Formats: sequence, structure tokens, C-alpha cells
Amino acid sequence: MKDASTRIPRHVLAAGWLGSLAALSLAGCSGPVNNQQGYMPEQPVAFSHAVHAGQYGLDCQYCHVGAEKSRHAGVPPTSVCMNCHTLVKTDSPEIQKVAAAVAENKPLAWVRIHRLPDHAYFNHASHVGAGLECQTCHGPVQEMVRVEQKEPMTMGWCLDCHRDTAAKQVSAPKPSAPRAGELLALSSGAPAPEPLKAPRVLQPPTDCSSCHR
Amino acid sequence: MSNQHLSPLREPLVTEPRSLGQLTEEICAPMERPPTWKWWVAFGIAVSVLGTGAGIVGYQVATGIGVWGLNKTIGWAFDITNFVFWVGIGHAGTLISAILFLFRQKWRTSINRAAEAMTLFAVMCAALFPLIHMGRPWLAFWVMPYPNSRGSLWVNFRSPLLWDVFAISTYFTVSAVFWYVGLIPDLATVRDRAKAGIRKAVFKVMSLGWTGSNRTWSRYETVYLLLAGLATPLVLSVHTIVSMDFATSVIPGWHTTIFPPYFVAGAVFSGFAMVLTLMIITRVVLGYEHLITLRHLENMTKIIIVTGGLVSLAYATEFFIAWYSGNPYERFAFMNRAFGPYAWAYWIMVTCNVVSPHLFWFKKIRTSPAAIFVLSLVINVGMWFERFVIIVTSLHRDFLPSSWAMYTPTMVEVGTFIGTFGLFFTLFLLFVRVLPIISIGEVKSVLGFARDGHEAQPQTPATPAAEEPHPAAHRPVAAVPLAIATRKDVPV
Amino acid sequence: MSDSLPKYWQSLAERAGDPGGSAQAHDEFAEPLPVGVAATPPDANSRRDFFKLMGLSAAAAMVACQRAPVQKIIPYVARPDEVTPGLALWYASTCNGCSARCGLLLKTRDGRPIKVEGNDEHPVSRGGVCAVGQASVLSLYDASRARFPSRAGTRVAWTELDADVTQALRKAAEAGQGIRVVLPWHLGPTAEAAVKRFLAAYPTARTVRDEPLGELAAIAEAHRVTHGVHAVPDYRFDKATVIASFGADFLGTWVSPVAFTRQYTEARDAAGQRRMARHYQVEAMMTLTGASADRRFVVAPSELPLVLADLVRRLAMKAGRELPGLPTLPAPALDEATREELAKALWAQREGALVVAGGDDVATQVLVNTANALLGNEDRTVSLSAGTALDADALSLEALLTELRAGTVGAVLFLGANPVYTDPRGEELATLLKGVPLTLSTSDRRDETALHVGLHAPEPTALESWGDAVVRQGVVSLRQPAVAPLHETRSAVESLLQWAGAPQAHYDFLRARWEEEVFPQVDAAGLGFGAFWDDALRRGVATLPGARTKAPAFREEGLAKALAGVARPSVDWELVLYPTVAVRDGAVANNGWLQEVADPITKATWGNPACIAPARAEALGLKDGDVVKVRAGGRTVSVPVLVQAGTHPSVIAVPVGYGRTRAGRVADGVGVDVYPLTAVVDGRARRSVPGVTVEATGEQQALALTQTHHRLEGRPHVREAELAAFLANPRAGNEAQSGHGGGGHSLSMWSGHEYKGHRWALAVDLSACTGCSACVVSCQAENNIPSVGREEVLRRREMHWMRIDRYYQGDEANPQVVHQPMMCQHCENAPCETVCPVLATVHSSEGLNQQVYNRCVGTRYCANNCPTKVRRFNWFDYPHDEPLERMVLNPDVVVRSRGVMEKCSMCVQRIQESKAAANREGRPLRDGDIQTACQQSCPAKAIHFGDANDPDSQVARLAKDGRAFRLLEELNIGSSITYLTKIRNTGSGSGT
Repeated sequence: MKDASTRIPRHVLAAGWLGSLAALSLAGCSGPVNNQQGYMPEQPVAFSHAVHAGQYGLDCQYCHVGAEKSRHAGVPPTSVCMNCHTLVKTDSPEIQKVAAAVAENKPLAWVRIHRLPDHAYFNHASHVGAGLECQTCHGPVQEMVRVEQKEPMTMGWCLDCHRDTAAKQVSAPKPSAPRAGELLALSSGAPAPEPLKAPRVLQPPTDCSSCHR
Repeated sequence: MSNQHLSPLREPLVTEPRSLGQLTEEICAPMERPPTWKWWVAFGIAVSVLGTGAGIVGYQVATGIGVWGLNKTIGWAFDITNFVFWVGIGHAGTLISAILFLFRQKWRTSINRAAEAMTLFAVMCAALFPLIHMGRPWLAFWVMPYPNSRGSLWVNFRSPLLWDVFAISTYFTVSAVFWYVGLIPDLATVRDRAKAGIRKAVFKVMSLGWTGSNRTWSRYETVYLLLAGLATPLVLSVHTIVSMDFATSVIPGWHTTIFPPYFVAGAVFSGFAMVLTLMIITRVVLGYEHLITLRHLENMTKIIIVTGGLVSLAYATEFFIAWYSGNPYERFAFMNRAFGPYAWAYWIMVTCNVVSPHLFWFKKIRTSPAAIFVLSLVINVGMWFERFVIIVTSLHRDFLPSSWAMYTPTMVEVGTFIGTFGLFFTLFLLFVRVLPIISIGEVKSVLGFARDGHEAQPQTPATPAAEEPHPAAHRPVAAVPLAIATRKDVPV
Repeated sequence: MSDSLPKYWQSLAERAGDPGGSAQAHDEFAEPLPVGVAATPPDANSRRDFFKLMGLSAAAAMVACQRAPVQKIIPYVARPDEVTPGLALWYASTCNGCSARCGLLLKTRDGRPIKVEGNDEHPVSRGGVCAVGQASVLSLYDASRARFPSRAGTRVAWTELDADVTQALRKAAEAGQGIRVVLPWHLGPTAEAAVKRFLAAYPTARTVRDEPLGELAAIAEAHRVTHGVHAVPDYRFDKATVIASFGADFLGTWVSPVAFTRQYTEARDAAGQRRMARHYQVEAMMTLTGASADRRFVVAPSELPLVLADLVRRLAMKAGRELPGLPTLPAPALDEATREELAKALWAQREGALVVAGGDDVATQVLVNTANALLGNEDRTVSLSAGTALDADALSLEALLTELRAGTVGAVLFLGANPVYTDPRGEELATLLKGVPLTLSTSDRRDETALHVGLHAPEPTALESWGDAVVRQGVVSLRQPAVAPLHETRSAVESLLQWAGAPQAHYDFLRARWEEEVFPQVDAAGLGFGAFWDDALRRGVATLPGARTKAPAFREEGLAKALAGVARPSVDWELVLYPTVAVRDGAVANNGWLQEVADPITKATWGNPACIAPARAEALGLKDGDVVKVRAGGRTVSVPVLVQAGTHPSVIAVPVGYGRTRAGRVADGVGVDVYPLTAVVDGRARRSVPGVTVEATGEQQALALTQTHHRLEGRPHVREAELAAFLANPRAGNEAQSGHGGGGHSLSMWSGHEYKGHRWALAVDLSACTGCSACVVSCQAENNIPSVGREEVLRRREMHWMRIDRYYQGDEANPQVVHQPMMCQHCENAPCETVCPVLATVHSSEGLNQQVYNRCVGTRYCANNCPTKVRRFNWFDYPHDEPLERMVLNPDVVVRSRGVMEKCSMCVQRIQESKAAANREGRPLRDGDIQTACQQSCPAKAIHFGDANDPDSQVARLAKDGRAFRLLEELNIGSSITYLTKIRNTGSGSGT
């Protein structure tokens, strides 16, 4: 009995070691697969959202035109920068980079920060249309000198918001984009499209196929 | 477990007179002597087959399931057939150990160890197929319910495949524990016989500090009894669950309520056949004819007659119900089995499983190891075809005639199947070398010497010890070396 | 078989380096994932190695720990105004796949065409597109196209080539040598104008018209005889009450199948207008059209004219007219009663009947004209005044050959013609061309003809070029490019103008011509040409009210002479060379989609087996795949046979367009070339050849068929009713159906789903469906479905999400046929959903059965448990080894990787898109806002998609219809697809 009682702890110890090893190795992988949270790479041009969106309060969609009507918000064509920077701050080396790019008709290669895997289809237009602030997903961009991924952007993170919104019965704001036929009606006096009913209550889908197809 | 008071009328389970020490010697002999050339040949073949199989599986995983002969209509064939086949074989072991143990069937003692090992190895072979039959096996861990960042995305508890995952892993775990616990006293024996060195160290750890004290024994036996009780329902549950892979589907020929009992009977049937195959080889190769006696073989053939009958009944019932249900699809499916393009497979199945077991009614056949060996193989073939028939003939012609198709296996599939035999026999041959394949402690308990007054051997301790055969294990073996040396049936 | 893995190729692949940095679909993650899988280069081999290295799940878990590779976003420098990344742009255009010229809408994303759809505003094709039209977008990205002009295969500059050509032409003109331009019949008015200009520039120049199938030529020639005009009339099946077709496959390949299919279904809309035209088909082999016929009669090809002549005689008798040339003909094999029935039926419906005939025999067409004239169908069901005139003074190929033999030709230009391949005299032509100073081809690839010419001036495809076409008198269809030419190509029009010495851009020439000639004909109420032009471009078509010219009357003078050659001896083994619905004359052969879509009748892919009658096959002991030698006119071809129900016992019918040698990597060596077997009867190529010999070789060649069992085994998956019975009881033939509206049984293990919003559903009208398979190709294009190649089809692994099941019933010598489009049934209680261990296939809140590729681990249990077997598994990683061909991928649909299951999603990407649009505009979805790919392109409009929860939606209404039934109700799967019973008008039981 004596020797037995002394032998047992050694096995327990061994087991303990194995267990903790396994735990460690798992912990290494326990993070979500696609989590790029905190990713803040250097960009070819040191463009500061803090200055443009924050200090000067430019509307996000002045540059990211797609956000309201397309799946992709889009990165502005280089020429858009030159709308102002032909006059503004033309001496800054960063601006000169841009000017040069436009001059020799070479696109700038920005480093992509916010991304979902391609089997996940995210539609900017639907979310902007539903009245979401860009900051909800992209963080306080207007304070960022260099843009960083603030949110985890995992499937679980998307679903949390979808589920909460559905539970809260939030209703969408009146769409800012002109509706089909409205512009025509204004210009040619044609009959305007039927007036809007009460703003729809948001029902963010939780079906797989609303993002995976 | 040991009940020494044998009636003189009962014929002994160990046919030759053996002292306890001799038994220990004999059973430990294969582990303590260098392997014979027979073993080397067998092992060489097994390993090379295993190697080939592994290569083929690697190729298939690297290239895609497309290298199999499956198509848009027949999504399962060899893979799941082999899976069910091996799971079936993995039945007899625990059945023999647990159920026969609970029923106090003494004759089990000399075969249960090997049978359990067989169970474990068979389940390993079986488990391979659900894994490699996946289109993306590297994502197999998705069938495990674990918290994740997908919101959280769980598994489908309605899916029989998931039930399989749990059923099989549970069965394997419990069988393994049951087997290991049963091994402990013998491991201790080996430990004590071993000279110092790695061997001793290893067995020292493996025998978990077995002392052989009364208390150890009594606790050991309690645990063993409990485990037996735990394992018994599992034996029945595993194949019940496996059968539900088919029974819960909508495909005519699969969607059948009789499947659970039918599959279990089939499993026991094929399991015993496989035990016979292995035992007959082992008893000859290791010269255990006196331990694994004709009586053992005969008992098992009797079980085969019974289970074979059950299986035949199941076949008949299926056909009757198909007709009686009046469901045109059901009727077609079964007519198609018997007379369709795969009729040959069906009739092989019938011949092997329905007809051949009845040969065991003849005492001559029942008691001729050669005949039993052949028949056991025949039955295994038959049982493989049973699964093939169930899976392929049901799938290849289901509801819409437009999608009817045929299936032919590729070399890859056949190779993989053969490869699993390589795995199975490699493991078994290693087992034969490194562990006592017969439960020393238990066989001693059924030793015939009890009847001719050997209890009064001076060395054996007093009354309690008389209940305990094990001290013999510790006894100096000096008493019997000559006897061993003169035995011709222990290859030296 | 495994070790000899075929080289899988895939026509669908994504665009590399797409602005916006997305889409590199070398696996299902079109964009690099932080998972190691995608971190490997797109090259298939290294990917394989990667998997080799990567063990199983454990390894995968570790890979999951890696960080993402850096990814770039490349924006435009200056974005074109109309382009918004992620939004589709549509262009109205005109198809160039065959002579029918249907209206198209071209969908482009980020500047690349990705999908062809039908143009609903087009008055002739009316929203339909056939398989060929659908596939033209893939041909655009065909890697085997010529990428630059060349001299004897070596690249030259256009200027250099033009210099050579003009110089040679001048020399020829001065030397008084002939200049010959070989063209197809239909070019469109603008191109014709360019040709005229060219001819004007070179006095010795003349056109040679050549069309592989010779149908248009025969029709026009016949009208020259009977009406004195060289034109093809406009057929109006929708106005017909009885249709008699003599071997004309007008639903499949004849003249304008898409338009005719729509008209045909309208004429036979029993449910809508309580009557349906009866369709008689007299033919030698089972055609797509014959499969839809009410009464079908099988006669030998050489008997066809006789039957027709007999019909004409009977009609003449009824009309009390005496026609010369007829009485001399022998009586046909078809029995008296049938012939009389046919004549009676037509006569009873005179002025509303329509007689058509296929093939390249002028005499037959003359008889058809006569019949239509006698029945007074002219300007009603068949109108010459609305028809299109064909080049009257063109030379025949035979004439060209004679000239070439005589050596009086100084230049031969092939504009979109490939006679070396399509004509039996091709070999001779090739050799004769060597002696001609200037030979040139404008084909889009260096094809069989281009191989034998000196200069190659490649044309862009229809999707890259301008053009127009007269589809019907007063309907001018406009073609505009959806993308700038991918390669260094130039349209034939520009080339001709260049060589004519009046260089002008195709666009300018086109616009100018429209301004001068088309615009004046429209009464564009004060609105200037600019507005008219823009509108025409937007709609893709202009309709001219221009006054109808009075059609010339029928004259019987030429009859006797024309019918002289009718009585051809019917010798055993008559060879029929016919075009298939997909590959047609072989010009479009180098297209994976068209090669892989199963022939609607034979269900054959990747080859052209010869059809023979079951009785004959039995007599000769031939079975599917036995190779036979067919000898005709001293030439021999070995071809595998396919036992085809409904074939005439003395007929062996083989599709043309296969066995190409210079089409490209897809088509080369697929099937056998049977054009050489074509007979030449007094200068005209004839595709029906009597007196060929057929002998078995004893060899075997597997046929890649997608369906091998052809009978329903008495199962109620397809239901049909006779017209009379249907009119009496709308549920005729459908009595088996339990309650309508798809309630299914009341007993169920599951508590049913509740659909608060939409519930998507399909309805398929079996009565309308002709089996043309346009939907199959449309689905393939929309959903990035791979073509897997012959080897995989042989293994029964075709990937089509949508298939068309074809069943025969009755006598196999002349069976009744039914087509059933089959796609995922999106079951209420889906058997697949319960068995998936990882929830990769689940039910949506809108009734869709969703397949989540990225979650799938590939157990295939769902496919096994699918009662309709519509699920498709990615057996391999079909490598995208051709970067150009990746451009056709639809960026809204994931490209599936190896090892995952896929299936019909009811075009969920379209549903999402329309829902988002509606939300954005703050309006509810309207019925018809969403069209699935299959529905959109269906020429018969047999498929309807909509919201079953919306009581006024068409789908909801159809689901309650008496004809509605659902598959396998007894399984209580609760299919979301409603099928409508097929109505036949055979007149059996009660006459119409």
C-alpha cells in the first residue's frame, strides 16, 4: 500500500502535464478564425481620416460613393483627391505622391483593412439604407490618423447585431436616395411614384443565404 | 470470479492438466521469446498491406473523393459498406467479454482477451471510413459541438451521422477501458516476471501499481463487473445507431423499422465469425489447442447458427413488409435487389449468410477447425455483401427513373478496403507479441486441477488464497521448467 | 481508372486581378482567407501539394491560427461615370448565334460581360434566348480565339495586312480576275451595305453564299420558283390552328426556334384560351419538335416529299384545282387513312393552317409553298411580305469551285464562313485555294478554312462589335458591344470598308446608315434622330411602321420542273445529318457549356452518336456504344450508335458540327466529323443521303449520357391529359393529387415552418416546356457551374443544378415524349436538412432550402437522402487553368471548392438583389421583380417564380390550379415546386 500511495501522484502529475499542454495548444487556436481586430497597416499615402472626416467633416460618401447604392463602398478613384488637392496643400510630399500617380495614370495600391471572406456577401447599400452609421462597423474613423480594424468582424459579431436589431423592432429612416421615377417626376412632371408608407421596421435576416450563396 | 468447485461431471475447459505456473509460462511465452518466422512472415505481409493502404488513402485525400467510383446518384458505396462491416466485427469482442461474463459463461475466459482486442482494432478500422469519406476530411472536427465565433454555430443533433460520432466514440472508449482493466492483473504478472529494464519499467507503469492483495482483487472485480454492465447496453446501442443512418432516411430499402435488431444480429453474426477466424489461427500458431478448445469453437458456431437464423428472418421480413406495405417504391426496391443488375451481390449474400451457417448443424463440421475456419470466412464475405446490397442497390434506383445509375468501385476503393485489413492484422500481430492474449488470471480460475486435489499444494497460501489463483503468478517457477522444456507444441 | 485521371478543365473561373482586389476563385474563397488554404498560389499543383502536406482536422485547426496575407485595393485612377463597382450594367443587343437574330440583354459587371439574357422588348424573340445565345458569353472569353491578324500564322500589323489585301485586290481587278466574297446568308443590312460598297469598288467582285445546313437557301430558292422572289417568309405559328411539319425542327434548330417556341406555346395554350392548335409531325427521326407533336408519323427521308406531294394532290382536289407535275409521283409508304386525315385536318382549318418542312431540298419546299397557297395560309400564318429577302445574285459554292478549277479567280475572302469544314467539297476547296493569289478569312479563330488561306483578319465576337439585323419586315434589331474588343481584332465591316478604299469606323457607318435609311421610315413625331437613336440603342430594336409591300402571288409555272427530281429512290440505310440544339452546325462547338448540355432527345453530351431505330438495332445486334462504319460516296466514318426510340428503321441519323480539328482545345477531337458524308446532288449539298452502308466494327465506345433509363415505370411523376378531357375537367389526369396549395399530409414529425414574409416557389408548366434546354445553360452561366468534361459525365457526375428529365411512353418505334425540368424542390420537410451533421443545409425563413458551401464537409448524406437526386457534389477541384475564361464568373455567386455539395438555390443572389433594391427605394417587392435565370431565358415561358405567400402572385394562382401537382407528395416532403399537367391534343377519344 505504502509504495502504491507514493507512486500514484506521479501518474496524476503526468496526466496533469498532458492536460495543461493540450489546453495550451487549444488556447493558441481558440481565437476566431477570421479575426483581424486591431489590424492597422501602413498605407502607400499617409491619408488621415482624422483630418478629412474629422477636422473638415467631409461626408464619408463624398469619397466612398458606392456605400449607398452598391455592395462595395469602394475606395475613391485617385482623381477624386485631386478635386481639392490641385489647389490645397500641393507642396506636401504625400499629395505629390498622389499627383504623380494621377499624372502617370497609375492607381495607388491601398492596403485592405476591413474584409470578409469571399463566401460572405456583405451589402453596404442595405446597411446604409437601413440607417446604420459607418462607425457602427468601422469604428470612430473620423478620429483615426491611420485606419484600424476596430471590430472583430466575425460571423458571430454580425449575427449579434442582426438579432438585437430584430428584437428591438428598430424602424428604418426614410431613404435618402431618390426612388425610382422620382427624379423623372420632378423633371418631366410625370406622375410621381406612390407615396411612401410608414417607414419599414427593420428585419435583419439571419438566414444563411442572406450572406452565403 | 473464480469458482473452483467444479462438478466432476463437467468436462474441463482446459483439456490438458496444467499447473498454475505452467499456464503462466505458456501464456507469457510468446511475449518473452523472440518472434517465430511464422510471425515475421505474417507481420511483414500485414505491414506492407497497411503501407499500401495508407498510400492510397493519402492519394485520395490529396486528389479528391472523385478517385472513387461514386456518382451523383450513389453517394455512398465501398466507404460506408466497409464502415458498417468493421463496426459489425467490432461487436463480438465486447459481447463475449461483457455479456458472457454477466451470464457467468466460464468458457469465455480463454478467448475474451483476444476478442476484445479484435473489437478495438476493428472499431479503429471502422472509424477510418467516416473520416476519409468526407469531401473535406481536414474539417472533420466540425462534427464536434464546440463553442466558436460563428454566432455560435452548432451541429445538427437531428442527424444520425452525429449520433454515430457519439455512439462509436463512446463504444470505443468503454471497450478500451474494459479491456485494459481486464489486463491489469496479467500486466502485473508480466511485470513481476520481467527482468529489470525498459520492459519492466513499461509494465510497471501499465499495471498501475497492482499488488495482488485481497482488496485489490475485490475492487478489481467490482470494477470489472460494473464495466461489464456498462458495456453490455453499448454493444446493442452502437449498431442500432449505425442502422439508423439508413432507417431514418427516405430511400426505399433504407427506410425500414426492422433495421436496429437486424443490424445487431448481423453484427454479432459477423463478429463471432471473425473471432473464430482469428482464434483458429492463434490456437494453432501459438499452440493453445488445450486452452482454446474445440468446445470453445463449437459454442461459437452454435451462436452463429442462432444469429444466422435471426439474420435470415430479417431478410424474409424485409421482403414481406415490402410486399405487404403496398408501397410501389418499396416493392420495386426489393424486386430490384433480388433480380436487378446487382442480383449477383444479393445472391452471394443469401448463400453466405442464410445457407452456409446451417452446415454447423452437423457435428462433424462443427468440430473440424478447418471447416469452421472456411465457413467463418464465408460468413464474413456474406456480411460484407449484406451491407453492400443494402447501400448500393437501394441508392442506385430510387424514386426518379431519370437519375438511375450504376456503380463500379475503383482500385482506390478496393485498395483502401484491403488496407484496413493490413491495419487490423498489424495491430493484432503486435498485440500477440506484447500482451498476454489469454487472460492468465481467469483461465487459472477454470483450471481442471481443482478437481484432482491439487489445492493442497504446499506453496499455496491458506483459505482466502485458495480463492485466489494469482499467487501462483508470483510463485517461483522452479517447479515446472522441465515440463515446459518437454512440451513440443510450444514453439521455442 | 483513378490513376488515369482525365485533365479536368473548367470554363468558369474568376477574373484575376479584378479592380477591388476581390475574386481569385482558385478555391471557394474567391478572396484570400486567413486560412492557409487560400494562402497557397492559385496554381492547382501547389494547391494539391498543400493538401498533401496538410494532415487532417488537427492540421487544419493549426492552419486556422495563421494571420491573413496582405491584400491590396486597386481603385480606378479616374472612374468611368457609368461604372460603380458592384453594380451591374445592362446593354441591349442582338444575338449572332444563328440566323434567327434574337434580342439580348448583356449583363456586365466591372466592365466584363458575365451573362446573356433575353430582351423582353424584342418583338420577335420576346425575352427568350436559346442555349447557343446563352453560351455566347463564354465564347467571348474563348482562349482559342485568334488574338491578332496574321499572315500564314505569323503576326502582322493591320496596316501591313490592309496593304497586302488592297494591292492584291487591285491586281486581281486589273487582271480581270474574279474576286469572290464567301458569306453566310444573313449579315444584317449595314453589313450588306458594306459588302455592296466593296463590290462597287471592285467590278470583278461577287458574293458567294454558303450556309452549312442549306435550309434558308432551299426555302428562298423555292420561293424564287413559286413566287419569283428570293426570300424567306415570316412564319406565324401563333396564328395557326393546325400545324403540319415535315421534318422541320422549328422548336429546336429550324430558322428561328426561340420565336417559334413562344408562338407555338401561345397557339397551344389550352388553359388560357380553351383551345390548342393540333400539331402533326411527319419525320424520319425523333426531333425536339417531334417530341412535342400531338400526332407523329415516322417515314423515311426519301418518302417525305412523296407524302407531301400526296398531301398537295389531295388539297388540290379539295380546292378543285389541277396542278401540273404532281400525278406522276409514286404513292408514299404512309397509309391511306393517315394521309387523308392529315389533308382533312388541314383543309378544315384552311387560312389558319401552317405547313412547314425542314431540310435542304428545294422540291420539298416548293411543295410546302404549294400546300400553303392551296390552303390560303399566305399573309396569315406564313407571310412573304413580312419575310426577309436573301441575296438573289450570289454564286453557289459549286460555281466558285468551277471558277477555281478554271483558275479565273484572283481573290477569295471568307467572311464568317468555314466551308473547308462544313462542306463535303472542303478538301478540294482547300487544295484549289493554294492556287489563288489572295486568300483571306475573318473567322474569330484559325479554323479549318483559315488554316488554308494566306491572310487571317480575325473578327471580334458579337458581344464586342456593332451591327444590326432585319428580323422581320419592319423590325430592325440593333447590336451594340458590351465590352471593347479583348484582342487585336476588327469587324469584317470595317475591313471591307477599308479594302473598298472608304475606311470608316463600324459605329459611324452604322449610325450614318440608320440616319439615312432607317430613321426616315419612322414617324418619330418631331423627335430628332439623336433621340430616336438613343431609344433604339436602349431598347435594342426599332420597329418601322413602313407600308407592307404586296406579296407576289403563287404561280404554278415552275412547279413541274421543280418537282422533277422529287422521286428519289428510297434505298435502305438513309443517312440523315442533322444539327443538334446545342452545337448546331459546329461553329460554336468550342464551348464547354454547349458541349456539356445534354441533347434534349438523345441525352448525349460530348459527342455525336448515330441514332438508329430500336427494331433495327435488335436485328443487327447493336446496342448503345457499338461503333459502326458508315460509308457514303466513297467516304467512311466510324461512329458509335445510340438506340433512339422514334427513329425510322432504315435511317441512321448523325449530328453534324462535331469532330472539329481547328476549333480549339474544347471541341477538337470531340465526336466525329460527318460533313464529308454529305451528298452533292447537281451542285447542291444534301444532308439526307440514301443508300449508305452501315457495318458493325465490333468496337465499343462509351457514350456520355446524362440519362440512361427512359421509362417512368408507371410512376406518377409526370401527369398528362387529353385536351377534350381537360376542357371537361380541369383536374383531368391529375386526380391522384390530394388537396391543392401543397398542404401535403397532416401528419408530420416536425412542427411546420412558418413564413412571416415571403415564401419563394416555382411553377413549371409541362404543357409549355419543349425541352429545349436553354434554362440549363442559363442556370450554368448564372451560378458558376463547372463543365466537368466527358470523363466525368461518363461517371455520371455532371454538375448541372437544373436538368430536364425526358421520358418515353408507349410504342418505342414511335413513342410519346414528355420533358420535365428538374431542379431542387426546396422541400418544406427537406430530407437533406435532417441528415446533415454540420447544418450545412438548412431551411430559410422564406422557404428556401439553403446550401452553405463553406460549412459543408462533404458527407454526401444529403444527396443520398434526396428523393429527386438534384444535389451535385464537387468530386474534384476543377482547376481553372485558363485565366481568360475566368472572366465569365458571376461575382455574386461563390465558386465552390472540391469536396462540397451544391444545388439549385432558386437564384438566391437575384432574390437578395431585388429585395435590397426594393428596400432602398422604400417599396414592397412586386410579383415579377425577381426572375430566376431559368425562368428569364425560357423561350416558352414555362417557368414561373414568385412569392407563394402573396395570393395574387402568379405562382400562388398556379399552385391552386387544377393542373397543379407536386412530386412525391406521399413522402410528405412538401415540395415548393408546382408542376402543371401536360395537355395533349391527339384527338384520341374525342376529335377537336
